[in-house]
Amino acid sequence: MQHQNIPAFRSGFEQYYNSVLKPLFNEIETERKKYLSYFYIGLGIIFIVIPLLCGGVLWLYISQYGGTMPKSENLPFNAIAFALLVLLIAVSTPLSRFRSKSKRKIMPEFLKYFGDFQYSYKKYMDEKILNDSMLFGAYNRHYGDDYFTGAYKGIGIAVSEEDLKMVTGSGKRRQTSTVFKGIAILLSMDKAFPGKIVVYRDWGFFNMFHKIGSLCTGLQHITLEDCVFEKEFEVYGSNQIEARYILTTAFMERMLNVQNAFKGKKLQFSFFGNKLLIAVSTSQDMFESHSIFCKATNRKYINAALEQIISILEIIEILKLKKAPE
Amino acid sequence: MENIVIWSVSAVVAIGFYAIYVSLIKKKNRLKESASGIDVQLQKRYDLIPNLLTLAAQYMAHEKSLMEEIAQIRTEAMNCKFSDNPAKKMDIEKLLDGKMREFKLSAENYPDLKSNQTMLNAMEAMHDVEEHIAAARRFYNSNVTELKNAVEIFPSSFVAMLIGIQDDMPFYEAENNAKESINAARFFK
Repeated sequence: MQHQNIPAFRSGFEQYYNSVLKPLFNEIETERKKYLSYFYIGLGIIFIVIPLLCGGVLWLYISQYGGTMPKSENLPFNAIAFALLVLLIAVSTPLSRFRSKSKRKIMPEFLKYFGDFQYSYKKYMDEKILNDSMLFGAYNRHYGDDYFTGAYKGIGIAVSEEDLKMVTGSGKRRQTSTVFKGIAILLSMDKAFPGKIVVYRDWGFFNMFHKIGSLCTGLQHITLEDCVFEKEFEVYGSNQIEARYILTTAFMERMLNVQNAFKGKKLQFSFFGNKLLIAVSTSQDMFESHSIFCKATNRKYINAALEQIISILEIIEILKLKKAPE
Repeated sequence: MENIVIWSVSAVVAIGFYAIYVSLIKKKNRLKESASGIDVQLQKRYDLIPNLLTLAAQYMAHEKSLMEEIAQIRTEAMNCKFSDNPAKKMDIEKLLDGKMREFKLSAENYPDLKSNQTMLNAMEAMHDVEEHIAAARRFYNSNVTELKNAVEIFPSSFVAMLIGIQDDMPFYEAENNAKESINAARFFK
């Protein structure tokens, strides 16, 4: 089932929730109680084991060495640290299992509300697309999660959580830096927009790096008249008029809606060929799954997910108006 | 020592002068480029108008005089380039804008015309071209501002005076009623 416009999606969701999602959430609620009991059992074990371990070490400390333990005998402390680590992993496992299980159960059904959407838990975006967008610096490790694809009004949508890292050196000199961590939204249209537009977040003094980079790519710096927009973003494009045609105030407002809906810290996007790639930097999970400590039937999370999808559909509505003439 | 100071100051002045000169020439050329960009976008509109009028003629027999007027103004507009004579071109465009708006409003009274798929496509294409014209106008106006600032503010005003660069290109202002946002959906029902 796919509604024809955004108000219809909003108004029709209550009925869909009650008929399709609510029974699923009730099932998840039962699961949640089971995983929560595992969690509390693990926590209980920690509270029993830790005092026992500490007591044991204290006894060893006093009886065997008379209060002064030689440096070579620090094995008990290592044993405590190891035991703690194992216990912490054991305790946190029910939390992560519940999150992934509830997500895998709910997401496919939730996305069906918006049409023929496919959800994949462990998949991510094609690297060629990420590179063509020119939004990201160099990276050599690519991780991803929560990938879904579908279409709305003839425009293809692909969304995923992306984690791009740059690893340099090896051994003790190994350094890992995060190039991008957040949500990538790819919209594919049936017709290409002429030229290329890349919109970066304003970096103040460091914008000069983008300016130097633009000398190599042949993109021009585009100064827009909107002061608010100019304060937030740096625009580069191959065509001054096309960039102004697309980057209207209404379009930018919708872009900021996407950023807010995904609780993003910063947003950058790029038009290339028939594609628009939006990159929202955020440490938040996309479609934040239910917390084990919160009732599964709580509407907070699913309502937030609805707003996230709708913010993407709003962008599509604007792009449909901008579609090149037949 | 004195010579070194004199040469150093002269070199700084010469470099400064050259930098301002380059910047002014760039601004002037960018303004010309954006003015011809307006011509390109307007030409797209002129290309669409005959199709629109031909389609409408089948349904809007009572609006013949309006369509004839549009055709006449279009011919006049095509013979005048914005980059050559901006003031005259703006006057003609204002006239054409007004007539086109009148045409769209009249088309509202013909349900058969409004529901014709070819007409809908033509109207959509026209709307798209008009947005491109608006974008070209924004680009042109931002270049006019840049050149005006450079020509009026010291020290670039001094260099501009020496090399004879003037801010003679006017801002391209939309007609007052054209500034109102158009509800595009109305035309595509």
